[in-house]
Amino acid sequence: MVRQVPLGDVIAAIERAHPDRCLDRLAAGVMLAAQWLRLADQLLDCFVDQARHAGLSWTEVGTRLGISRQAAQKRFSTRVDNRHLATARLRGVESCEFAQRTEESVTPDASIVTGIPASRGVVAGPVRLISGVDDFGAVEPGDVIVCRTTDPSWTVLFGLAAAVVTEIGGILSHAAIVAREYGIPAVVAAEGAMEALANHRNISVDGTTGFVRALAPPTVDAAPSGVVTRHERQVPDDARFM
Amino acid sequence: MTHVSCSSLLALHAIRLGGFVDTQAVAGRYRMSLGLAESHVQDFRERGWISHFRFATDAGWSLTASGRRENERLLADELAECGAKALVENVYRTFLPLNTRLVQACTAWQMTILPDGSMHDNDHDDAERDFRILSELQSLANELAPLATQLTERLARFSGYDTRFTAALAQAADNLDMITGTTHGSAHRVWFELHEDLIATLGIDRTLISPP
Repeated sequence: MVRQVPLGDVIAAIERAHPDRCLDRLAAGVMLAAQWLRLADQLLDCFVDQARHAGLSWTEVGTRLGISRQAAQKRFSTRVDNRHLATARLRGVESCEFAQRTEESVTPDASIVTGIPASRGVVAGPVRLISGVDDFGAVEPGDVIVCRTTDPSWTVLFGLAAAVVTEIGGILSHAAIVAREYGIPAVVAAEGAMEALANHRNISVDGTTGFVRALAPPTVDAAPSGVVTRHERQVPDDARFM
Repeated sequence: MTHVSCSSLLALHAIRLGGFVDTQAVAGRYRMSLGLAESHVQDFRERGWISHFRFATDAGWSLTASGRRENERLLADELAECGAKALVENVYRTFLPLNTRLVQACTAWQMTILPDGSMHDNDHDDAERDFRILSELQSLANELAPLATQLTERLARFSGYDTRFTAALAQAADNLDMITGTTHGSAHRVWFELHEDLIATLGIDRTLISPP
């Protein structure tokens, strides 16, 4: 049996990382909670997928999940193809040390890129740079799409992606409108995002404040990417957590 | 006399506009037979102009970079051939301010932005506010109609944008998703498609223009 998440250790790690500021602790908590929600989703995806491959009906799956057949089908039917991904990520979870992971995730001053917040929510995921349609094949469910701009062909990716970061555009752009419809966080007009995020594996995107943060150290030993803050502006502290 | 595009241009353009579409949708976009669409798709695939993608349960075609270049080359040749460049440019200039109003209305339909910058979803409880947005969209539909007519009188493939947009607005009373929803016939989707069509026809690079 997988051991329980050591909540006390996690809380202690966040408190150590932010000894003074309660709001920074809260921000770290929000980011970590977003990661865990995704892991929880992936956990369910994995076993729903196994059940479906074993030939069980959506009614039986729904009963176990405590939701209706329709709700189970709607929520999971587009995701069950991603079995290998879910399983691979699950293995990653078992071997990770939660407290250690927490220390990494809450490193202060990890904002790499800032843009205009265009669709609310905070989510974390692997970076996927998209320069053109030829990169579409590489997109996995749960990726954070980072691109220059989007045209109609790209919006299909929004149904899979955890979040989207674009270098140009605005809160009114077509891409922002579509991201809001899919309910995924979006940060737009994040100038230099593709270059700045190229060396990062996992990032969190805050579509409420416009901050894009690193979740792990850069994957190469390059000098840290400069903090790109084109849209320095006052954001009320409480808006960050909505 | 309006120009009727050849079927291979239409099939390729249907993939450009749809973005990610199956062969059925390629045929449906310009009402060509499924057999003809299948043969074009096969040809495009062999030439490397389209790629097949599978996302979860969806599968379909998208233009490759070379397919996109070919699409724009065909459109530019057609535009020169029927001498419609000035007209389309003129329509595009008139379209842009309408587009600005459209994305504002769509954003307002989705949410309210408070002075502090925070975003609040539109729960559609304020019927008066929704009515104002729908009136603005209706007024945009009225202004779109003559533009669509001008385009269609010269290039038949532009037909239908105005009627599809109006149809989406008419359905919005029963289905709120028909304004900004991701479903194919929503008002925003139809408008976004026209915007893409104009950009493609004029060979404008989206990455070089200011938002939206």
